[in-house]
Amino acid sequence: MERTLLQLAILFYVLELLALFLPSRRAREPRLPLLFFIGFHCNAVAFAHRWHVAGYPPFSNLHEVMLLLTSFGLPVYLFYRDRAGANLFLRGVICFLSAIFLVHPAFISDGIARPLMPALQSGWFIPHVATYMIAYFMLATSGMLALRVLAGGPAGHLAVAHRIARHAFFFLTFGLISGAAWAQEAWGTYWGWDPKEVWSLITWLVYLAYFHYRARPGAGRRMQAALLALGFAAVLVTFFIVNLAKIFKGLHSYA
Amino acid sequence: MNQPVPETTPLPSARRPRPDPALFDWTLLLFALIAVALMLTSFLGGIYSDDILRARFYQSVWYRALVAALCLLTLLCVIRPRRFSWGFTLLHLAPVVLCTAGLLGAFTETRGYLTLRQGETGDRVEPRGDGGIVTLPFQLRLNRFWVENYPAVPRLIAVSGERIVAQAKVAPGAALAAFGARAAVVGFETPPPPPRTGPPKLAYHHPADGAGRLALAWPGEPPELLAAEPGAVHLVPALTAEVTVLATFTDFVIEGGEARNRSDRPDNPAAKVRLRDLATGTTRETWLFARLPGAAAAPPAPPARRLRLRLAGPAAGESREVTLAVDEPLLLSRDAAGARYLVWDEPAGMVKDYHSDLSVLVDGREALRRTAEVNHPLAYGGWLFFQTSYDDKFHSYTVLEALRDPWLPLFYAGALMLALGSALVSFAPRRGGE
Repeated sequence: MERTLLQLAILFYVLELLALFLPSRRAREPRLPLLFFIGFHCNAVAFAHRWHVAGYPPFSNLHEVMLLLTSFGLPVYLFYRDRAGANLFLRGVICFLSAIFLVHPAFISDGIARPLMPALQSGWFIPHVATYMIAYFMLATSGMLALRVLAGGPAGHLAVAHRIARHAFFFLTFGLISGAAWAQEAWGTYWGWDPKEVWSLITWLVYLAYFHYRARPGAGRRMQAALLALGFAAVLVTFFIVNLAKIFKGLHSYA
Repeated sequence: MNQPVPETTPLPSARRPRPDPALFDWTLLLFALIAVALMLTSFLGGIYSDDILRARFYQSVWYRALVAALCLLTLLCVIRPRRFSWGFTLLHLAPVVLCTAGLLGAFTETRGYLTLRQGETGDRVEPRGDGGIVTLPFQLRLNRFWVENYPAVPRLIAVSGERIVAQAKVAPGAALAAFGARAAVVGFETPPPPPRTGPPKLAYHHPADGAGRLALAWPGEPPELLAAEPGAVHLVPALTAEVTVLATFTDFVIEGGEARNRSDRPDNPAAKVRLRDLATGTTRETWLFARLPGAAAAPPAPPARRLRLRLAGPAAGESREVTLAVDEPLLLSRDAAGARYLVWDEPAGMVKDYHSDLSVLVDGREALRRTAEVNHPLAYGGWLFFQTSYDDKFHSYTVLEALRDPWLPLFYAGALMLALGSALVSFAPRRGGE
């Protein structure tokens, strides 16, 4: 059931993406983007079903966090739409990201719900993972908007990208420090130089660099967009490469 | 007509000093240097061990110099702000506080391991790196150690080549659709136990966290447990014998030709019994050793049950029933994609948690009793004891990581400042919009 729902969600996200290229403006910009809404609800029901089947918040492996990550698609869209004319592109970006992120749980992962290991049974489990996933989805959206600006898109997209990144920065920071506090409770060390910790810090530093560059007198728009895109790249490395690449061995390898 | 602006009235934009671009450039340079250094070091994890990485890179002088320079620059921004704001101040001070906590902690913390067996009391902490053994100002006693497992859940899985493509929990009526075939669980078939041949085996069973028992077992059946207090007498018709327990030991050893207990730890549990043949009246004495290979009572063997499945398809109306043993593959098809089959297994329950029931003893008196488990360390007298590892074979000992870091509150203060500062900076309304 879960896999079917996820495949349906991908289908609706892709259809919504295709609808954005329709010649009629009325068809492209309906009051209610129905395909996106249906896709999101398939996605959300699959997430709820997973939670019910697993018997714990499904945040413990790549399959499950992908479901969590894409569950922020619609809230992010509703919160940041109607700003600086980036509405259409924002919806496209969110549908594109959601469809891409769902490929793993819908087609590749074995989908087996495994019980939680001892270290994951902590009060920090939900806030740490949830805030990181909100931050990652928002920063991915912001990064895609920045890439559009770099490709010659309207400057208004940069303002939306900045607003999203500014809000995401709190979630990114909270994820970092809640992870440190959790590590202190579980292993007695709040910073162990684990590859995931190191790359989380690198990501945080890149966004700090972006905010400092933006505050610098004479900051250029293209450089701001480039730094946001670099931050998005750092997010991708932290989220995927560090967990999947064999060269990084650490406490987060299970994820 | 425009009024001339008096020279003494500053323009609004000139009320605050413009930020110095050089300050930003230095900050950005340090961010870049630290990020690149971290990035390069993270790739060395496959070459060097964690300890070498820490010593040569993360905790090296030049790494710390970079971080110290960034902290100084940050302090400079906080001391001379363009305008005061709580978010800005907290967000900039927090990393300085966190780095200070880390640096001071690295020089002053005491960290090491404490290994305790059940019933053992200890106060000697072995350091993680170089350094002498540290003696705690109190003692810790391990009253009990136990491991909690998740229940094993039988599952039915569909496999293509090496990959699991679908799975379902095994329960009557549970269904699994795979490769065009639909399997429904009918139930389990448990074959009758094999007929008993010969007398049962008499053994001594002593779990790590409990009292010793005599165990009477036939092959393939769970053992029947009997009390093993010295003096206990059991009439065992199956052995046509009367069994009397003469003595028991937790850590059996022979010293000076005499059987003795070396310690209270269950390292070598043994029982001495007398067997009186009920038919002939002859008696003999024998030793039963719990840890001797092959001598211990066998744990209850898992039931050799078979799973009965009803397979439907691929043609409509087709249906057949099959029975499968654990891990016995049922081939459904074979094509270019490889073999596709169904299999059921019952993976052993994963470890859910492990617990150490500990007592803190001060001058021999119990000052605190608490259970340490993963994510829930025991705290006493400025020390923290983390449940780190254990004896995964016999569950007879626990390994605790002991930590004394007087600067830990500074870390929590920095973490709180960072959370508050980032919340204020991220969500506070901006003057002049975005």
